[in-house]
Amino acid sequence: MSDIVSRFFQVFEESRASASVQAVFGPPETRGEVTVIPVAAVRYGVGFGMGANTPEGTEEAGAQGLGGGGGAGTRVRPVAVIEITPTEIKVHPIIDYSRLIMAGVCALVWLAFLWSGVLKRFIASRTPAR
Amino acid sequence: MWHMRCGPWRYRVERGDPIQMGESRLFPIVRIWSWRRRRARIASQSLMAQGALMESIAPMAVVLERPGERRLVPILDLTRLLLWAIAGLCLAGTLAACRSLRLLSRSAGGEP
Repeated sequence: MSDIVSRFFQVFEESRASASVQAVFGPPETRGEVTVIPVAAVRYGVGFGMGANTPEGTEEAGAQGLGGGGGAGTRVRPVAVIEITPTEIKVHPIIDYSRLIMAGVCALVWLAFLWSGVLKRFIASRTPAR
Repeated sequence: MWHMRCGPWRYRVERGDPIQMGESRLFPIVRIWSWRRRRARIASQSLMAQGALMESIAPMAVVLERPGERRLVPILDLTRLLLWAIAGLCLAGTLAACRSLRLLSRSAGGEP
């Protein structure tokens, strides 16, 4: 049983070693005198769990309970492109406009909702009670 | 290159292998945030094992080395910076609204 656990941890360590600096900086592409290197931000996660139990007095194989599961996920997001010419080096950032617009709209809706409440209270406080 | 550890969290800055381009070399520098958990319990009747790892790797800068020249070029993640700016504005607006509501309810109650 401990072999299975060791194997699990080995796979776990291997997955950790596979992500490195090479995952962030792509291979350079040269066209004439210009070399371009894509740059990305990488995020990943792995997880697993397993358990086994043999109730006391039931030593036969069928009575043993064993279960386990695992999952993994990776996300790679482009960040910039590095352009290298014989005379200079330029970093062109990549901006995710759709994500920014979505975040901006959500923020505006939230603030409009909040400030409409403040405005309502302000108008109510200015109106003389009859 | 440099690392810091706090419980299961680990922050490190690493320099990758140089990328050779003719006479010039490019050294990538990245920052890595990681969180890991590893646990195993083996008893005579039962066994339990679990492990989890999360890692976030982002570019920080590149060092360009050419004959007679060595330059550090920072890499900014503009999308993330702008998202943080929006989050900051949102938080500031929320705090200002809460403060205004408190002042309004105080003045309505006749308190100084």
